[in-house]
Amino acid sequence: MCRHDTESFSGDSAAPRLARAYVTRTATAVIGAPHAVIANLGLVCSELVTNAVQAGSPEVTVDLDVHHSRVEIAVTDAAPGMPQALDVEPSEAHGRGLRVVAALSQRLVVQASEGRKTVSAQLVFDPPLTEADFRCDTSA
Amino acid sequence: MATFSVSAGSDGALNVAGELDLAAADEFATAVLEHATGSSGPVVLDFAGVEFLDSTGVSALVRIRNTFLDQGRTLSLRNVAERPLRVLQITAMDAVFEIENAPQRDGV
Repeated sequence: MCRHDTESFSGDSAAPRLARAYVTRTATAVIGAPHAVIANLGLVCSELVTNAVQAGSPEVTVDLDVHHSRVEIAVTDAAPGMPQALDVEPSEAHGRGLRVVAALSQRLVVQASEGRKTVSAQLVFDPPLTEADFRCDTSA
Repeated sequence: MATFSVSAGSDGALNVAGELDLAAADEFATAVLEHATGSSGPVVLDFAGVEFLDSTGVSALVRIRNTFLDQGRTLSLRNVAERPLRVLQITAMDAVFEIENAPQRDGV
């Protein structure tokens, strides 16, 4: 692994914007340049944090692991209930968030324990990035 | 702080700009419906200034569309950039909304 980073956000409507700015900034600093996978990462982050906020979690924690071959994002909340991917009709207003996450991720994993749950997703760099692309020593 | 804007364009379209996410979705829908109150007929949203769209923004678009359908009005989008278009494609909304001048996907 190249870089691990984590940050928590208060569970309000600004959290998705702040969280996607955080993961985009962090991953771009490691890779050194914008990348389509990082744009997808921002979108995945926005969806997962939105789910946590809408489920009523007072705080949402985002963990980010950047590897040469992939980036992993894990969003942990303290809200009841489990995420569900719904089959929605075109006229229905809700239920599309996890569909977006699933479309952009290789793996989607849900873990629950002691009133907290973590939803993690993995986005793959194809082809993998080379050592020269990376700035692993950027962590504070 | 508003992270989006809706304004009347010179050709009758509504110009939308900014980030359409959880913080913006409800106000975005309200702003579009208010702007369209004084007119009738088809509604066009110009998305050239939309920098970010996620499923909450799509949900707002669905609510807007449903309201206009009830009024017998159509809703179309134009100048949708690649990233927002991708979200509309993933959610299968590109087949529901009429999208004009949509740029081609470019492999993302």
